[in-house]
Amino acid sequence: MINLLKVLSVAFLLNLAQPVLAQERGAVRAGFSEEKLRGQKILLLRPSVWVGEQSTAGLPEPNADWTAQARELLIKELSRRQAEFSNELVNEPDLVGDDARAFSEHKALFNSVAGSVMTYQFFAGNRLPTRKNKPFEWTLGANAKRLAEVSGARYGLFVTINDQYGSFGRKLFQVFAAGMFGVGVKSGQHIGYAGLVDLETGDLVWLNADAEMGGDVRTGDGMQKRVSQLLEDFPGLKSGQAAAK
Amino acid sequence: MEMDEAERGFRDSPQILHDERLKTYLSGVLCKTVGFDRCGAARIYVVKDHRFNASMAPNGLMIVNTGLLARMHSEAELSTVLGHEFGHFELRHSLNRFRALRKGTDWLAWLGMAGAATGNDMTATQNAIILGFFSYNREQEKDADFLGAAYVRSSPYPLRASAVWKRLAEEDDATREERKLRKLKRATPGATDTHPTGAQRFAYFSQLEAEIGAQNGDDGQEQFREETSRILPDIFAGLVKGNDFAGADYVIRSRGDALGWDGLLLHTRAELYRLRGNPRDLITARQFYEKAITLPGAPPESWRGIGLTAMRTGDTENGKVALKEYLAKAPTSNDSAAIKMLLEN
Amino acid sequence: MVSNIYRERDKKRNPMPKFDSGLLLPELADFFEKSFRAQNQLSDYTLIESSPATLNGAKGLRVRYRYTLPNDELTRLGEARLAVVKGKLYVANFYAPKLHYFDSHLPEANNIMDTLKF
Repeated sequence: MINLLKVLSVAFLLNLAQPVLAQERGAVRAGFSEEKLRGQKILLLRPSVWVGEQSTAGLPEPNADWTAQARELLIKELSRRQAEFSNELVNEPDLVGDDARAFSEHKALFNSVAGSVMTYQFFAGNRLPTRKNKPFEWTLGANAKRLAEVSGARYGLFVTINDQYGSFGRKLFQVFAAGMFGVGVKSGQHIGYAGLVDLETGDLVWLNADAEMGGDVRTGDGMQKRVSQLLEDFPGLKSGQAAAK
Repeated sequence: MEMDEAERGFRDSPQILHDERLKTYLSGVLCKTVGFDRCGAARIYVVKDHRFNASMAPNGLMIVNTGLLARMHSEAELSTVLGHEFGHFELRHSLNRFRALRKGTDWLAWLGMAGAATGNDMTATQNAIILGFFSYNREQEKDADFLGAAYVRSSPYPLRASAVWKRLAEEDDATREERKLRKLKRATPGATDTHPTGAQRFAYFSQLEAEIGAQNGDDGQEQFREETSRILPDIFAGLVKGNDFAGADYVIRSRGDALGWDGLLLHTRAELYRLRGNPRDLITARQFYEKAITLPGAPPESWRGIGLTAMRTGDTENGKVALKEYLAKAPTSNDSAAIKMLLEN
Repeated sequence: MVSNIYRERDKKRNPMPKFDSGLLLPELADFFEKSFRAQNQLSDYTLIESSPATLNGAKGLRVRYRYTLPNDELTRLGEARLAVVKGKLYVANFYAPKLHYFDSHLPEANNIMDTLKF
């Protein structure tokens, strides 16, 4: 007996954007401005870093050394730039237990939300019909308040890099596919997110997100370039410092 | 210091199986394998992942998959895998590799992999037979195998590595047969294989195991059975509820053959059959459940299984009796309301 | 004729469980779990509760579950409703991050499931 099976999927996709031209890379929440940041502490969350290779088949394979190297370079570069920030930066405290889990879960949620913004808001063609004219209104939810209580900071700066470098096989496959079949195959992927969250409400007030970031995060020079790009237009930088290399 | 961040992420991840007793036990096996002076460098985390894998990062973070534990039959077998990963750590391959690449010898490294564009059949089954999340090359894997074996040889354990690779090959064959995939020829590695083939490993480990004195010592099978039976549902859940029936059945059967069948292991096999649910499977599953409840260790869910399989095959009366027994044994189970509703109809 | 909850994209590498109209009500939770695991390549899925519910007036099952995606530390919750009507399985599924979105949107999801017509 063959049974027909029907699936009704209930999808919830939140808060999509006003119409804009194709693929933006950054946005600021309505009502937020540099004014609001004045005198506030910013919690700098330990960045999420993942660096690896893309196999011939296009699957991600982590590389512990590259990841460690990139994390070290990223932290070094962020601390080198401390003077460029107009606000006092607070480092993420060392925690255990529930508070530690609260931090890691919020970072994971930030990554998920930033990915959704990039996919469903920054790419104009992807906007969902029910949310077409929504402004940039995204949130991590009111539980973020715990991060404020623990750190004493009003805002949190989340930074994520996720880089996959095409393996030799992948690059060869790219050339092969283009040569033999004229098919474009992507080799590598270079995602970067930087986002500022109002920890009192959990609202995302500023975001920079791009899937094609520049700068080889495995080198010092490359990381300088990457951080410049991540912090481009960040409202908490002293004027004129925004794109400084 | 920076690698500790990765570890922090691990420590707080919901994918980690938090079980202090298990962690202590695994650390003990590692210490016996590589020596108490060395093993302090490793911090072990058990990851809920049904695939066969373990890994050790340059900072000492050691990852052991539940799927690895499901497929081991003794402390001696486990020690060869932990020894292998610890071997990578001591050889610092991954750091060497990084330095080599950074010296501008990238092209040399790449030339060694010429022919890399050929398809890699290893992805055909979910259970790619590899060790380690981080990529090393074939020679480094072999070095780690030999160093791991050397640790075991100077430990109280006998060397029992070849059987592990033999079973992995048999499991893979079982999966491929069921899915009508071409079986792998395992004699020589393909150009893109980063690990020695199972057959090569089987061959050189068999040779090492035949050396004089290599089989001396207690393999710790009884202890291993006890410590892993305690958490059997945790280490088998992904296999039983996955979609590789033949592979999972092979793993369960081989454990039963080696360590003996208790109520919980037989229940696990019954679940696998019931969940596939071919008409014949329901009858087989019921037989397994009914046998399981005569053995020590059967969980209340065995009565649930008897009830459901009986009702499915038309024996409603006995099915209801078994389901009532299940509710009596586990009144607060997460599906008691659904079972009650079934009983009312 | 479709007999999987999710489309079977690769029969050899990731086969999907096939629906059998003989499944008993509590077994729908098992079938859902196997399908959801295969679709999302999950190793971490926990059934929190399965209990009776209705879908378009038909007797069915409500399944509450928790899971994490591979290589993602975000804990997610889900709630599905399943019912078999004239040999066909109907599934409505809502899932979201536990930290904020699941709770805040569950009432809306439940409202949709309560009023679903087919």
